[in-house]
Amino acid sequence: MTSRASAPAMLADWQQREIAVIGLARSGRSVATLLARNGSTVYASDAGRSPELDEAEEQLRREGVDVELGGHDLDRIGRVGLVVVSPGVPPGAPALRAAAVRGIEIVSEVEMALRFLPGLHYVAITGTNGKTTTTALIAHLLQALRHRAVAAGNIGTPLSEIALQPALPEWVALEVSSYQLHSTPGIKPAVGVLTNLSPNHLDRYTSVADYYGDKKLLFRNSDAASQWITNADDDAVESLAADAAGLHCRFSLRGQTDAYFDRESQMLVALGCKIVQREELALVGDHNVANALAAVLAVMLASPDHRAAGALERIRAGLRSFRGLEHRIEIVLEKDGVLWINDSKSTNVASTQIALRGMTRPTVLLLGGKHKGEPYSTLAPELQRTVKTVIAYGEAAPVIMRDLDGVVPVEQGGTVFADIVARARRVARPGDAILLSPACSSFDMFSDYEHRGREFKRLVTSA
Amino acid sequence: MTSGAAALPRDARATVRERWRMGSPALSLVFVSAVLLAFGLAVLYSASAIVAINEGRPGTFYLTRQLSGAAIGVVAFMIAAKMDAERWREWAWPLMWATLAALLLCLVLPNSIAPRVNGSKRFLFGTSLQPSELGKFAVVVWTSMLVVKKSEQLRRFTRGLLPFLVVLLGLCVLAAAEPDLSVAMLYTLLMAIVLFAGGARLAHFMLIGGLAIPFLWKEVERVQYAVLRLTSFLDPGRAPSAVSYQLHQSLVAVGSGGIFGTGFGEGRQQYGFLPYPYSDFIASNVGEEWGFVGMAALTLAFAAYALFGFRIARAARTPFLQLLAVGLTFTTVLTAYLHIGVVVGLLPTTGLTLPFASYGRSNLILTLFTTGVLANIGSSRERVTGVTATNPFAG
Repeated sequence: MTSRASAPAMLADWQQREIAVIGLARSGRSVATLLARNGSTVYASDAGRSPELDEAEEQLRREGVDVELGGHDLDRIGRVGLVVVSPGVPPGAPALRAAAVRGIEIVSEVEMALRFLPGLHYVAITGTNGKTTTTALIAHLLQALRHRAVAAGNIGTPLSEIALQPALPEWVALEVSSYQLHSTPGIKPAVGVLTNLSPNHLDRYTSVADYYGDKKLLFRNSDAASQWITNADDDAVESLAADAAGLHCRFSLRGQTDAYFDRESQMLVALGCKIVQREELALVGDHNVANALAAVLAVMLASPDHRAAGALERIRAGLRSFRGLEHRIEIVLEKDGVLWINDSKSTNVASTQIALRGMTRPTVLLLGGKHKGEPYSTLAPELQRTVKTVIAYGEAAPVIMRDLDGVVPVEQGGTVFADIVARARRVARPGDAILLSPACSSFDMFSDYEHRGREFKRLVTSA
Repeated sequence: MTSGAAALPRDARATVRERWRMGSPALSLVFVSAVLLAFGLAVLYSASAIVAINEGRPGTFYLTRQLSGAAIGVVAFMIAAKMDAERWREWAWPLMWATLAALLLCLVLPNSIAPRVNGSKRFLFGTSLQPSELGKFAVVVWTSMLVVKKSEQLRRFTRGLLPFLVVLLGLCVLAAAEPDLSVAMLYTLLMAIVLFAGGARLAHFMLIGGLAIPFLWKEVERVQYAVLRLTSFLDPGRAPSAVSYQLHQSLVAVGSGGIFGTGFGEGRQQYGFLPYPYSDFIASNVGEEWGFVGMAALTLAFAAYALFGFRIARAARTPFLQLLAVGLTFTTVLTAYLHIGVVVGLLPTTGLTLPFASYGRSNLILTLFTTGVLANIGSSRERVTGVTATNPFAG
């Protein structure tokens, strides 16, 4: 029993009966382990089959978890006391319906982990775009302030893994998606950040209102002591947060507010203090200035000690030393006059839009993957400004070719990634840039966006 | 990016109202201040009644005038407590200019407007306005503003600390010319405290201190005096013989109070033995009539004021407000302790008042006003939504 949250003398009600864990990617695996180690009977299942899942099965069996791969025992799920769902499982999946019709509570992995981490200090970050960079930057700044701080949630490390560690970190920067918010009734962050909102995930939500409705659940437990950071430039964010109790602070790239970017002096200002010059940030694009403002505000609100003179010095040092994220507008190399940029993290149209806004060279854009339901035509103005050729690939290729017909030249790239990259290389001329910013998820050809990004970098550097 | 906003109830925002709600340190601070104010008015009445009668005025003359100051002060408190203290940042320069101008006016205006009282020109319009009181607030606001604005440069000397010294020099020259050395000293201390809290280098303080020693030899002598007082406390035989008349009377008063004091209104020193018993030496009245217990309670009350003030400072919303709260807390508490120190002979005689008690409406209004600013810094903006947002009496 190495878990810090060691088995309590009396199990809570929800721990008395069997618990089903649906989906056995990284977070499903951690939460099943966490539950098993704390004395629950756990049934874990995944509809898929892969070498990774076989490995997960073996590891979980050693923890005493009953594992099933390649399908779910719906009858059994109908009898459990609680269902824990992984972020990758679609809301209408039969396993979830089986639980829902019997009125069984369905919670996220985050909710489960939070129940084992009472008193955890955490900053929760959500929004359509920018949340991963903001989460990473918040964790980095908290570390710069000499805290034991980690980034967790969607960013990579599941919160359950933190709960399994023997020592509790002082702070957690927790990235939460709208799906996780939907089934995390216990969320109550010290500081909550809502970066921005734009229609996304129309493959999983029937309407924009449903999607925004889930994002609003960030505020579900707000009280007078709550602290919220919202985007003053985004009306959707502001109206969503309007009736949440607690302290509201805003950031803006346009006007003066709690944290803002002063274009004249190129200075980032937060709570009345000059923080850093824009050029001191190793991040490109206006959206990253907004992310930095949100992160600085979050950290300054997290504790009054972070507003003292000495703390500001450390925050400044932290901002200057932050190097951005892999797979997010990451420059791979420049070869034969062509700049290769990996933006594999862009899994929606708005995110690709942001990457395109930062482009200053004629660009060959690799667009495609698993279609998520958004139209690509909204990219047209940016495409016409900077893109010379779009290479459409993967499952989404026919939709892309239809949506962008007559906007910019579009070539069919096929479904073999090496061929797609080779085609881009042939099209590009010295002085051009090649941008992988797919606007789609990666699951038709890769295990996740990181896999896609690594593969891109490998092909680029090895040629 | 905002195309989805239409899907949401936009009128939700219209029903949101914000109000300031005091946190527990702010509520405690207000309570301590109320107790000090009530106690202070009682002490003032006791200390001033005989003087007023001797001057051929009704016994309540000073009390009534002080009460009018208290009424204005309470209004100032309420306004300050409900106004976002962050806005003082924008007023920092105007406040500083106004202070410098008013101090200058005290000196250059004819005696009809700026009378010479007891040899010094500190007042405007009779004795109704004392600009140096405004100066305390201005020094704290202005220094806090510039410390935050300079941020990283503060650690350098020429571009960091020097501008502060220039303004301080101007203030001190004007205050010293009145002459009011106590106020000049207080300005220096307050600015030093805010600079220190804002992260200025200790080495720079030492450098300035070292350079200042030749000019402030008198001050050094005062420190020696204080040390001497301390040693004489342990060894009464070596007490300095040249104790001023005022201080002597004050010591007699405090000493005759004993443990529990002679009782409210029973003191003898206000019969004219002690000049100005209602201002610069008012704490000696506390010592006489309320005894050691009263003095200890007074000291503890100001300690509580400091404690809550610093708690407010620690949790303040912004770095500017953190510094402002530190400075304003010190403004009241430092003045009080310097006053009490003088009265018991621990410090050399200066002209500092006891906040909340000493006669002087400018000081009382300022003290209540700065307490209001502290109360706002110790408040948080609370969102009220729905029905209660438009009707404060519903729900």
